[in-house]
Amino acid sequence: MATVRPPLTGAALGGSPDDFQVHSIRPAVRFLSRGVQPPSNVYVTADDDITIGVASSQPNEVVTVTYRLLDVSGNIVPGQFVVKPASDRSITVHSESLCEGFLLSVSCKAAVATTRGQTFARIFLSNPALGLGQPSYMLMADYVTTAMAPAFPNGRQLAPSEGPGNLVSYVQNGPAAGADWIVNVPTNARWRLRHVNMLFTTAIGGGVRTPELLVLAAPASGLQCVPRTTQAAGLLVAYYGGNLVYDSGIDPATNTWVFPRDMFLLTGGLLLSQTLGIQAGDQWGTTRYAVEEWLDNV
Amino acid sequence: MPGDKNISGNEFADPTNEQVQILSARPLTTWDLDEVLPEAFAYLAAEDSLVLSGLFKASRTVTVSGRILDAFSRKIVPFQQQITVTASNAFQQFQIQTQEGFLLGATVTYSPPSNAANQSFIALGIMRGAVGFTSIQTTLCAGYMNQLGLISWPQSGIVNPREGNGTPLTFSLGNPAAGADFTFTVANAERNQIMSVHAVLTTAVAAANRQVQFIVDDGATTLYATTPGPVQAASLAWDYTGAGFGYAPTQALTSVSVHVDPNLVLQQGWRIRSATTAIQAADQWSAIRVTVRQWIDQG
Repeated sequence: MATVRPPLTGAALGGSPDDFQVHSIRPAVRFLSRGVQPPSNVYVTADDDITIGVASSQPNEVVTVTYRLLDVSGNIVPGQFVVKPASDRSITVHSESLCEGFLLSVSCKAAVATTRGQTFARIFLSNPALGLGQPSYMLMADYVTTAMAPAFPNGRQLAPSEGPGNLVSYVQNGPAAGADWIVNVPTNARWRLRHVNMLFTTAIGGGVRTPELLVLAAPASGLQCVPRTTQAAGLLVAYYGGNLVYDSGIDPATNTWVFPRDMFLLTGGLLLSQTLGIQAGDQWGTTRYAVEEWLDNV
Repeated sequence: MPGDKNISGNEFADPTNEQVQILSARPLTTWDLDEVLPEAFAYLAAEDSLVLSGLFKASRTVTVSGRILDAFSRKIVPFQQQITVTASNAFQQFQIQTQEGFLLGATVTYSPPSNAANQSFIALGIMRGAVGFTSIQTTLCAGYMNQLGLISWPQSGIVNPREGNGTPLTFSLGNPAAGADFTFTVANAERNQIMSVHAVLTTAVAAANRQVQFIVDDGATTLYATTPGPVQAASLAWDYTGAGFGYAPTQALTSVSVHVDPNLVLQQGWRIRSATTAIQAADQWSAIRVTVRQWIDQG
């Protein structure tokens, strides 16, 4: 890293006080420089741990936690450790002992996640006497990315379902001929459905097909979206689903599903087609869909 | 001291061991480490206590844990209280007695998690003086639960239960009697945004064209109604889906779309129900499911 000189002082970073040029007028008050109260309101005892719980949907994610302590001798002690969560949205918990002193700051940063909704971290102090993973003092809880290092102090404590999520598109291979497609919401995910796009080829013969889109927030519930029109035999038609307010309906090679704007799906939710009149030779193509995704229950 | 046992039975961390490496320069400022101001903004007197109040959507164990700088020993003492709560749509309160001292931090967790459990709303406060729950409290933190998500003081702040994204939930209603319409009523202390209403109407052989309508009322007065285009003849089973489609085709074979206000929010006691003109005695509504986003509407 290149040395950067602060524009006002002209001194190199890390230089001695003599390197600095004083440009400002001395304040009217005089500040303590001896016997100052420690600059933290969080005192860490010898039996406290720092604990982080991390969940992620991203492969090869690594979350780096960095902290600084003012120890009982007056030294500033930095510490750092990493946590490698699985990409299945499960929680990985890591605890580490701290030396006694004042906790000055904590920050954490992701190596893979680039936006909210991908990697969620929750950091707190814990005491083994309270039980595994039981917080005694919360420090922060928020999504972490490669650019954002939410931290203590001044970090936020949020639930993973708050704020904007991760806009992500998925592609899934089509089903066997004569079968409908189905998409399962992953465990510990919360989706807001944005778009659906796929092709449906009808074989020769048989009556008209009516492909419906079912959005099931839970396996037992149903939002049943009917298409703009039916599809006859021997045709290839592209189906698009979205929150439309108007559909011109003039293109015979496309068809439309409409669903509400805020259709949320939780773990156990399903997105699937239900094709009335489907024939053995009919074929759904690759399933493409876009959702806004959050981690949930982590 | 190194080698001593802490209260959990483990050894204290040794601040002088080789794993601790001091990388930073010693600060020019010197710190007063002999007479440090207590690091807290809340002092609990001997007659004060913590008060947990909440509306719990599922029966669970609530754990309140934290740290107190004990006034007598001047030690930082961890504390923990577990409370078994039962599901109810009314706020409940529990008193937690602690020792005198500076409250350094407190955290409330609620386990095990579930989508319903996470919809529970909890507040932690201080009751000043032993005069009962009706005395004025200092609210420390309040919010919805989540696994390990918890609420805490001083970090998480105070959230109103009507804030946030709400919880997506689906209600399955039992079938009404034959020849009767169905009704979904919002329960006490709930605010529900209707995302979809789905139900199947199976018409009997009696000849008549049934016209389905979805009606919203406050328990007495009709506030809003919506009617799909087609009418349903005898001896048919049709799926009706009501939602804020914006635009949607009205029918494909046996599936009927019912256009509903996309921002349909109902408070407690309000209802969304079917009203079927020319319904016959043997007609049957079934498979009734209402999907909502829900907030607690009290407190």
